[in-house]
Amino acid sequence: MSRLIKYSIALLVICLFGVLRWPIEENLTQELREENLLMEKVDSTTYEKLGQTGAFVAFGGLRSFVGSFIAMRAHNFFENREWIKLEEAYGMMTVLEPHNLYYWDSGSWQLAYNAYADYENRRDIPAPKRRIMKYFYLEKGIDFLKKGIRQNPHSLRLKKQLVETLTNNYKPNDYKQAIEVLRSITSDSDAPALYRRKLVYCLAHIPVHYEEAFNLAVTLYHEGDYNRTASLVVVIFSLQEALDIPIDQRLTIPQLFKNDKKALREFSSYYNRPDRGFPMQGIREAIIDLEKKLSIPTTESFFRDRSKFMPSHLLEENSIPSSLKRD
Amino acid sequence: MSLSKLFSPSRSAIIAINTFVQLTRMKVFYFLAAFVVLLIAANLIELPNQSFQNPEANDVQVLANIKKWTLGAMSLFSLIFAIVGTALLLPRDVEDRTLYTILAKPVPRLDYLVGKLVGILLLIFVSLLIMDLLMLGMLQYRMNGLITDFSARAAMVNTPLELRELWIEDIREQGPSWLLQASILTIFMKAIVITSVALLLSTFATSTLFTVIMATLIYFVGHFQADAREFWINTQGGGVSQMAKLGSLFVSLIFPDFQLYNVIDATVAGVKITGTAVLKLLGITALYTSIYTVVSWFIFHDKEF
Repeated sequence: MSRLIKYSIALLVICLFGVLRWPIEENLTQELREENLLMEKVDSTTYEKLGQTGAFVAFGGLRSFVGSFIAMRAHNFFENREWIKLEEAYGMMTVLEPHNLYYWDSGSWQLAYNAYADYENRRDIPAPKRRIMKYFYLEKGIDFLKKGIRQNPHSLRLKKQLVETLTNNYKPNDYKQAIEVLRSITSDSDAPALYRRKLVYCLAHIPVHYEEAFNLAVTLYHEGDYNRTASLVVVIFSLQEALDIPIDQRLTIPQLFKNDKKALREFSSYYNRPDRGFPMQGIREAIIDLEKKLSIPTTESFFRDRSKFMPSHLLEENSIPSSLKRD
Repeated sequence: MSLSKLFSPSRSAIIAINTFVQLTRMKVFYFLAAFVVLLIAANLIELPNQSFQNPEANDVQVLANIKKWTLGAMSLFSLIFAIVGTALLLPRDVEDRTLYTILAKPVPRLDYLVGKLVGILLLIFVSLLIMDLLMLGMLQYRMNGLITDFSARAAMVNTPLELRELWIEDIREQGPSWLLQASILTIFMKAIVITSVALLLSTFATSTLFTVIMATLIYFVGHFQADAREFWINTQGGGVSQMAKLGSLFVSLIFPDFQLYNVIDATVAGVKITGTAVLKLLGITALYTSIYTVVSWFIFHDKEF
């Protein structure tokens, strides 16, 4: 048999094999994509940004390898405060590895926290522009996380990060969005209890949701000791007052706290932090009643020196709002 | 012609072992020194934690980096062995005149080819096994250290136990696992396919360099095969030139689909791969290897030296 004929037959066999394996490979590719085992194709823009070597390596099936080098580059951008380039780098990293939660997590942190703080402190920029830029990067950080959640809908970590960003005390809050995210987490019965507690705290920020917050908080309270955190029990107490729950249906102070001293301590710490936005109904009166019950002299009253119950990081003079200083 | 004259597993096994020994004598395992250096480097690279909401994130990323780098190195080394090692086999036997002695025995050519293929695959398997054991050892050691340090830090700042356990679980997920072994198996499957392609090329190639270049090209174009296939399917309605369509058809029929084996990236990120998916990949690997080996034999069976 001549070589030409032999090679032609070999090529024909390979082509026929190609036809036979076509549907098998097509189905297997679809299945693996549905299971998130095969990443989406890298778009041409990302390939261009990767450069020839990066594209060559990523193209050869080593996307995560290339991603880790871009992560180092991103860190350098962070050190140099080059936020635009940093955002681009994280964009590439998440295209190469869309299921690497660390990239979505740290990328959003860089934008919503580090870039935000950088613009807040940059005195070389006029104040109006500083304000615009910091909120611009806060939104970018939040959008980045939302994109990560769309790509990884089952990721508790990214959802938790989004909730923390939306409810951060030092940034503009959006409790409505946070509540939506927490509802999506807690709809799964296997979700850890701490997310349901967080949902209570977020609901307790919005008066129209007080009833829902109270019902959920009481359910958590009855589930066990592990749920009876200081914040939860004080929120229950305050919501009982806010919703005007009949006295005989309320959880009493002895039920909520181990003893009166602990109750006084928790109420005082809670009262000292109105910045957290929790309901305050009934708290002041409870402190007064407990001080009488425990025979605390007026000179040692909480209202004479609230700094005793102030978290240490707020004890700096300039960090205490005037409303929190001595009555 | 009896079956044993056509193919004998025992004869192939002997050729396979001799091939393995022959390749080992080329001191190929010295590459492990480079692998160990890479493993240590991967261990040392630790970027400062940029996520204070998730304090375990940095620890998780340290372990993920070790896996990424070592799996990347495994992919690279297995690719080099598969292409270069296979490309050397036939020309070396021709040069040493060993081939004439073997074929004159007579050892059927199919036995010879299968033996050579299994021999190089044995080398790749042993190399991957050693690298796997080194990686697992490093991962386990590092994971234990990270969990101990993290627990101490979390206890110091009174982190709630519930959160602590969640975060430690995140760290453990990046440690040694069966998922990791599944990704190494896919690296090996990829190597099997490219080895059989290189063997096919070497049966008609005029030089080792030609085999190496062509096999490397096929490896990279194979990562586009799925795109070419999708392109051909999506352009049936028209809108593109006939040349483009024919080109995409040619690529999708001739080249193997190496993109199927890119599940490695997802498994590093923690996506679970099912047993069914692994079995399907094994099935398609067996299909590729069988066809390419049969075609190799077809080209080789009456080749004159």
